[in-house]
Amino acid sequence: MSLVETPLMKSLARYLDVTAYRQGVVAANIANIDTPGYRTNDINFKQELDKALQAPDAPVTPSPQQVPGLLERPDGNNVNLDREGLLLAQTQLHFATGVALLRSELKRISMAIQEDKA
Amino acid sequence: MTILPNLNTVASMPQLGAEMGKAADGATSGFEDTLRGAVQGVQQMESQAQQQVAGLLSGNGQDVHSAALAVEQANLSFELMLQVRNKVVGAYQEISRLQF
Amino acid sequence: MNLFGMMEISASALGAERIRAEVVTSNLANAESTRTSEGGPYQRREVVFAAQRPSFALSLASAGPAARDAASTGVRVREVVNDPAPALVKYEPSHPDANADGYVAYPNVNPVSEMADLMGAARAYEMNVSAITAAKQMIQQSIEILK
Repeated sequence: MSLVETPLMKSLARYLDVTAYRQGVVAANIANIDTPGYRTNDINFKQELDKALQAPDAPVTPSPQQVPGLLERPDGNNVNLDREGLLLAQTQLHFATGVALLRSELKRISMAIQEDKA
Repeated sequence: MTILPNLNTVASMPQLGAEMGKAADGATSGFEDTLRGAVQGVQQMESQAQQQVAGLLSGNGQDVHSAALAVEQANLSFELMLQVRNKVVGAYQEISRLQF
Repeated sequence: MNLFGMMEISASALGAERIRAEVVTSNLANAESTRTSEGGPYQRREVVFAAQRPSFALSLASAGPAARDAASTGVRVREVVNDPAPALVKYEPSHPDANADGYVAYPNVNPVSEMADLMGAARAYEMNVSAITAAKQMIQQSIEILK
């Protein structure tokens, strides 16, 4: 671990990784709202984040699962636009929060380095 | 005594440390180690940042935020190394003032 | 897959929904067309959607980012088919296209269901635009890390 990379930075980086991945899954669900037979996918965020935190340098490899309990339409598609729309907004906010916290941590380290400038 | 080479390139950093180590006869070998460590850290971060940015630009699915973070960490690493260098140079100059 | 790939997926949906809207609009416009250049009434058409792997996943990039996205697919219009249902037949002996028994064949287009279809396409289009906007904002936020 280098001097400039704090554990908080590493955790936030992983948080952003999982959040960004989830947003991709949501986008795919929204894109396939009218595809016959398409089933809604999602990831278990808490589980995937824990997994990612334990392997800080491995690429994030979540396994999308089908979401149970959704109403299926006659063409076999079970994407609920309201659910996906809400998830889209929430995930975007999570990502923004992660970035804001990361920036503040980077600024803190930068200030610590500059602090000693004679 | 012009022992300060062109300090713009990271590659010249170990040279500076080595020279200072030679000139001050072991008393400053601690400086050399510190500086060498800082330089290695920078090289590591910079190569990782370059790798991620290259991946991003080639469109292979590299995350933007990871690449941005890697670049920023490389920059901070470099800044830290510069500060260490300044301290080391300052300390060396002070020591050489003491030698006579 | 990164955020750019996500935008590609949403963009594929924009294209597909737009084609769907065009087909529906064509059905609506021709709801009363009893005569076409092929002879016979206008044939109602439908789109068939199918999932489509985004193009970046086909690149020879390292197995890492591309392989993990087996589940995330875009969408495409696989084909535009004619509705096989029989034409609507009405008794109008005075109509120029009436057959020998006085019946006229109208397209099997129900304007109410076509409008519902059109609204569905519009809503899906809107949601995909939101998804693209979300991805764009996330990329811009990522760039802020460097500031």
